[in-house]
Amino acid sequence: MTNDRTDHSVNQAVLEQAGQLPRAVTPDRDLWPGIAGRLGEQLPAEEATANPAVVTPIHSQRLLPERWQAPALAASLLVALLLGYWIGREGTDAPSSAPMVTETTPGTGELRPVSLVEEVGLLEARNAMAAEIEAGLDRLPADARIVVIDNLTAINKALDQIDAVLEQAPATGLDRQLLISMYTDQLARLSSVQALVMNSNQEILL
Amino acid sequence: MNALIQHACCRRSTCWAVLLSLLLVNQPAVAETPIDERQDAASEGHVEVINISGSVEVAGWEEDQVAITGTLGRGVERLDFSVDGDQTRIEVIYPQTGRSEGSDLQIRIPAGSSLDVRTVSASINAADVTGRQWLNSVSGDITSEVFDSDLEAETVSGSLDVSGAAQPTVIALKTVSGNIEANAVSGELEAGSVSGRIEVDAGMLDRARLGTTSGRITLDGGLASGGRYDLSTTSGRVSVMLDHDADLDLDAQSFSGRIENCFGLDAEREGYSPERSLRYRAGEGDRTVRIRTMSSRIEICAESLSG
Repeated sequence: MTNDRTDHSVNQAVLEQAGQLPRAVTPDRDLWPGIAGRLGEQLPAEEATANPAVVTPIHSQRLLPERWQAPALAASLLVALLLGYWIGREGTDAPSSAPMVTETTPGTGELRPVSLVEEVGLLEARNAMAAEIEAGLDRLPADARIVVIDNLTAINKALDQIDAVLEQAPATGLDRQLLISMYTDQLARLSSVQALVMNSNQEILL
Repeated sequence: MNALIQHACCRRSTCWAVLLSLLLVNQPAVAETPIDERQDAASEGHVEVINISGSVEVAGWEEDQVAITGTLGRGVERLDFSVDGDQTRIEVIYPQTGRSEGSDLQIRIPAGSSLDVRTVSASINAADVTGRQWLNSVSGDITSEVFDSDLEAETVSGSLDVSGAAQPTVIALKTVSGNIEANAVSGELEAGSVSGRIEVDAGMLDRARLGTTSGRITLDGGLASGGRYDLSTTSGRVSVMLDHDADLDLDAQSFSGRIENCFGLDAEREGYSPERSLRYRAGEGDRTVRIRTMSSRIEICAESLSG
């Protein structure tokens, strides 16, 4: 029981930390033209390596062998995007056409969209709690187990619904703030269910 | 032939006898057992009660004793009842195998005791206990009275019904599918359910945090100066009736649900999304109300405006 309560408090801590995360994540301006402009500037710089008349940036000369330049470019793009992402977290109502944050799928080099909830670590918290609940279902009588499974489905459906809207909506900052708040609220529900299941791990159960 | 028939009959009757005796053996050996026990206990001690099924009724009294009456169900092994210093433990011991029936316990404890009750399907009813309470069941209904000490109550599928004495305290109520009802509660209230309904008729709350996934939330009552309500649901309808609208700072948001109010305001669309929000501020604005839903309707009003 003590361990269960400790687990619960750890999850509470995760939720509280998640609650502290910036919730509005849309840049207050369209970042893409600037990034595209930088990409345009990058091309002459790359050409400069073959043309001694053009000054090559010192850090490129010293630290970046040719084979690292492409990944470095991708990394700097990602950093630029993330910076824009977080700089814009105090976002205004202005609509944004900022591109979705991407990451490389391991082993494929393919870029894929990163879900916002995945980005801020909420998906990890959700999966961890869902796994613990599933592991604890055996502690419950059959009828209570069915109730928990049904309600777990309801929470997951709500979370998926919010996540889907988050991914699809080219939303305003306020809009995302509401959705992220709703998401963390549902994670809190999940945490409560987890605590209830774990607290049912009593010596009184046959 | 006759001998054969006779033999068969004999064998058949033997079989029946064996079957009957087997059935009898499988029946609980003990019938319902009445309980009537009592022991001296500390006036502000801790009482722990464990019972799988049946019912647990606990009532506080002025005696420095714990008294138990009721019945142990058929097949129940025994009742363990011990007092060690200020710790009292009451546990119904069920057999590890074989059938047994639920036990009904009526327990009187010193009113100032703290109380911890755990059951699986047994209902819990606590009354006149002024100490802190922890009430936990899997599928049993829980009913409790709250005075000036904290209460934590949780059940997976049972209902929670709590009534306060308008004294400020901290109350935490959780269910998965069970409905939650809290009446005349004051101080701080946290209530959460996945699909259960939450209905609060508040005394004067300093803080209320109510949340569901699909359960309806109804909150009616007083919000203290400097207090705050936070209500959240994805698809459950929200209805709030405040005692008055003075010094109010209201922010209600719904992604796709309607917001109705009696403040004479229209909910505004946010940017390019379907989200609607309603903001209202009056006086000092030190009574904060925050409501958010995903797809469900919000209704909010104040008694002073409801006519």
